[in-house]
Amino acid sequence: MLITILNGNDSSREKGFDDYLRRLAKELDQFHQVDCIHLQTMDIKDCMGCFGCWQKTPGKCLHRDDMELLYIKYVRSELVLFASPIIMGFPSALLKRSHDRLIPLVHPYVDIANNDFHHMARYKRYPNMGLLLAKEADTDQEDIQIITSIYKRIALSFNSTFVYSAVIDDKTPEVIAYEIGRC
Amino acid sequence: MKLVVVNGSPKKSASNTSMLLDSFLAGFEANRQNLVSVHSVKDLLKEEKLRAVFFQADYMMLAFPLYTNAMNAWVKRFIEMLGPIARNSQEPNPKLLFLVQSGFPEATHSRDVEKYLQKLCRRLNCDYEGTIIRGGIDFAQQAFPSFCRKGLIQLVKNGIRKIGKTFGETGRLDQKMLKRFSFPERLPWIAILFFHIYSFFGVRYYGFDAILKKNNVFEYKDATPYF
Repeated sequence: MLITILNGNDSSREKGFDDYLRRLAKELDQFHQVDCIHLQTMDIKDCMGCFGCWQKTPGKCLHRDDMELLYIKYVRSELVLFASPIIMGFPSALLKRSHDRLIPLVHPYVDIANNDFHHMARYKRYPNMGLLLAKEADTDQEDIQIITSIYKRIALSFNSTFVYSAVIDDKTPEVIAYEIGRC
Repeated sequence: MKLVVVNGSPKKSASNTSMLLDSFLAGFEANRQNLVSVHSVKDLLKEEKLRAVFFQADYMMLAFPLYTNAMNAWVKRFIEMLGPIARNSQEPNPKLLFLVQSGFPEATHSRDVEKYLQKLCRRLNCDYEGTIIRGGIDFAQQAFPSFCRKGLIQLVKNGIRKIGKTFGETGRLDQKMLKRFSFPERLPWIAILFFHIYSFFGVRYYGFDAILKKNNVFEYKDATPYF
């Protein structure tokens, strides 16, 4: 399986998170092709909500930055794992920035799924989605439920299937690699 | 009462979020004792400025468009910066209210982020005043002919103006008004039926097809440049 891990950790204080993902990537690498991308090292601009990717250059974002590389990796992956420490009850702004920029991958045209409007697929297939979180001091089960609910909706919006979520504080990289392998 | 408004749309004044805010504030300012200051989220991503603005308010309203089912990255960065300021304050924090504007008409798309915002207030030691949810403005602009569109948008403006007026008089968001304003919660069956009929005749593509043709890129509408 071709797996892309998007590391949304933007704090040097959370070095343990990066180390954890490195160990996880090493574990996964035994059976899968893994690409672990640290978003902090990339030049990714914020979405400006201009809809140029829908109206002026269909399917292509008007920004010229490292996101172009991510789009290619994203559509070719079979599983994309969104990874971030929780900050103020939600994954980092750095990770969210990469989500906001994903809209060129779907059509502006709408369709109905689960009796709600969603955007039509632009590509024939999309990767499955997964979520890896690290707790902050006051994270509780309600926070995890809210985040997971939002990510399930994101998956639906991008014509993907949400297949995995885990809190890394509770599991070793070996366990997570094993569980991902069974997805 | 002093209200500080943070506009979380990166498009600032040319956005649907700004349009809703303008109508809300027109109602709020009908009470002449009320004071308002409006800031772009981008201008408040400096700690000193954010601190000064935050502590001068009785109420802070955070308004944003829904980007991929949640607040956009600008707003998330703002929240990350506000966290330590609000949590460590020695003074009473302002009460918080929110406005979430989404492209699709159903309120259900915004309900998860509403739960997040509610929890956020507890995290920030701020009282939660409520979330105004309105979807479908973009949808109306693409899917309806101009004579319908203008009427629909005027209805939305009138609705949020009333919410702003009541808030300006009482300091509370009226929950019944919020519920009415966010209609529909889910797509009614009749809308789903019409959508399928429109789809059969290809009408649902009409709005964006017209824009693509105007921009001379219609032939690239199904482009998949990243595969």
